[in-house]
Amino acid sequence: MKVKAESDDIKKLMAMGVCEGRIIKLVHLGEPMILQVLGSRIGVSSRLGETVEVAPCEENNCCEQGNCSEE
Amino acid sequence: MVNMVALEQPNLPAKELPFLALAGNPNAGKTTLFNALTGLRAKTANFPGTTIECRTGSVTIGKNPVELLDLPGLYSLNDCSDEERMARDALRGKAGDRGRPAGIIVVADATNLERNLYLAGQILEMNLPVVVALTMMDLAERKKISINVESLGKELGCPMVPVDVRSGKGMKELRRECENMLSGQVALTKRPERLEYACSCNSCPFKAHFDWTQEVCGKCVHSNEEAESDRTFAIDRVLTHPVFGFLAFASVMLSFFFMVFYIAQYPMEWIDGLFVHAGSFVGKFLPEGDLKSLLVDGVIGGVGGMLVFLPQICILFFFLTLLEDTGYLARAAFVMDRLMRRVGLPGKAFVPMLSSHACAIPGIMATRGIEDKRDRLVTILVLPLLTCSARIPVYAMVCALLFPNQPMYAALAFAGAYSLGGIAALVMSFVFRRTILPGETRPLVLELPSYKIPSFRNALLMAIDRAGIFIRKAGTVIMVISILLWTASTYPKSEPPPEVAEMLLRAEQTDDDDLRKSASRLESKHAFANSTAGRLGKAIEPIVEPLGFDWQIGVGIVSSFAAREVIVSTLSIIYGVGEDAADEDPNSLYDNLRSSKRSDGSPVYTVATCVSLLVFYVLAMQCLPTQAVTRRETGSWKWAFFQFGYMTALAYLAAFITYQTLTFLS
Repeated sequence: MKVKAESDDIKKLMAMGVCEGRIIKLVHLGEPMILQVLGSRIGVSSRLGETVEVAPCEENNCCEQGNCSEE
Repeated sequence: MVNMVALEQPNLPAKELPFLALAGNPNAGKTTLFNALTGLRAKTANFPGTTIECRTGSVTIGKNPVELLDLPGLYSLNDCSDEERMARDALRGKAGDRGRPAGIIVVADATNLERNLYLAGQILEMNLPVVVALTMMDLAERKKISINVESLGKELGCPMVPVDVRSGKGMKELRRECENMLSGQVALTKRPERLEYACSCNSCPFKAHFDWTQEVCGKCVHSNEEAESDRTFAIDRVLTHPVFGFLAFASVMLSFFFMVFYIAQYPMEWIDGLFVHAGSFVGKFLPEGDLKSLLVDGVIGGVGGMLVFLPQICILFFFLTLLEDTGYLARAAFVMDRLMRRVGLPGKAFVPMLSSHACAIPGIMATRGIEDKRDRLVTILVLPLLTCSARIPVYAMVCALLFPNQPMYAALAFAGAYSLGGIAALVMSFVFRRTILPGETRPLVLELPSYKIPSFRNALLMAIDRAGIFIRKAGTVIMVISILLWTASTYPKSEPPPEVAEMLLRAEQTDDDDLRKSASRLESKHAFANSTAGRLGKAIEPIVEPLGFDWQIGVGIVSSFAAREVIVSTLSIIYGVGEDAADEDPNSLYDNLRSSKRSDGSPVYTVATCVSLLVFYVLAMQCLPTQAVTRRETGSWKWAFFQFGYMTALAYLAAFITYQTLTFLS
């Protein structure tokens, strides 16, 4: 996962764990959306969500960390 | 607690005692720990030169008194927000003249260490003695998360103390470690080696820190893969659902509204009664005259008029803290965000808006949960447009005038007035976001914490804290202006009209109590009409005439500047019904109003005038305590004056259009 923007809200999001290298799970798609990262759920406006670039993680790797991703 | 931003508090006191700082993520149990350590000795203060609120409290560590500084809830020490900047400055000793703290207690949620250690990592880099208090250990146990505390302490290079505030477990050890920090027995922390290496390259600093927290947790924390809280997940499916979530929100908020609005009315009546009795009691020992009137009507009446709001404030913050502690408030903000955002308000504005239907004062105080200053300011500016309980007597009077013996129509007019206030608040927030406070509402970034059983002690301490702030800050301003208003409605003195002496003489001769009362009412009416407030009312008659108002309504508007409901008792005095008649026999007032005529013989209270008066009182500010609280919460009179100005202009314009349209149509 990568975050492609810079603002105070993005920095806050990154400090909450939504940053490069972390596994993110999309719990609810909508406005706002719910992400799960590092064991917390975060409500995020979709316009911020658009700045987060994700790639599907390899299943084995994800499940090793107990955080199987849907995204 | 969410990160609250309060304005215009006293600044942190200069350094007198050594101080320890308490830092941690929001929802990590920091406030609970702070309250457990300090109890009622805590007070709210500002960071020097800023509007960021924090709480301080004295605590005895060993045998020495120490100041404990509760920093706002933080995710990091970056430059993301004023709170983070101020917290970083406080830890570096750059906030005022307090110097650096003697040590830092980092509060970390044991159920979510990987995220919580990010902030801990940044604090470890500050070369200060640090103790980490691990909270929520019982919850971690239930989630089958096991933590090797000793190993974690070694990884971080600082003492680690698991604490359970409810049972008191670990509190003794935490105090001991704090004593060690103060006596210099805890080594200064340094940046963890692994972090030093990770941050030396040009990679993303967030990634580097989280790689480190992941590595530390990998070594010291073992969790069951399936331990994800199914209960929280299941509840969230309902509470964050677009439809069911909204229904749940409506139910919770209706109950909340009921608590604030309904339960508070009893203590409000008691306080009101207490001050009436206090006034009578003091009055017995004073001779008739200005001193008695000043003390009874000005001082005791003014203080009573302010303290009567206390129950609503206490109940609001008590239940708000409980709701927040459970984790529900974050879900409610999430559900409402989409709807509120359309008019330029954040999701968190819903609680203040709802509370303002009871009273705008606790509503404005409740805006502290809104982090963004612009979002908060817009919310504060529009809150007094929502119908509060003080408007009800005015609505009741006008609806009774409009629809005598037609309760259904009167109820519809009542509902219409409520709706008008709500619609005006939404429209004005939309307008402000496109004019004086432009820009989009801050996008939602909100943690949805795990559901927890709330702490009644926390809620009680918060209610006491907010009540104290209200009395200390708003009370003084309200008191001064109450006395000024008393002066305006008492001076200059005027001789009673000759009819009064005649009526009193006749009453003496015939022993007629009713006649005596009539003489007293006539004297009050004459004195009021000739006072500064009365003359001002007459002076503004040309201004209020286009709204269909005569000078008597003008006097009512001037006298109800401090409290809108005062117009009812003022009109009672002006129309010679007597100040208490509005309560004892409202129909006598309504009959008088209906039969009152202008100089040309036409009735004053036509349908057009009544609707215009209703619209004016729905939209006009006319509440001094709210003004005082707006000044306190925004930090300047500028916004309080602006709020008064725009609401008065809006009320005038809307009443003008209403009166002129209805007059034209009829």
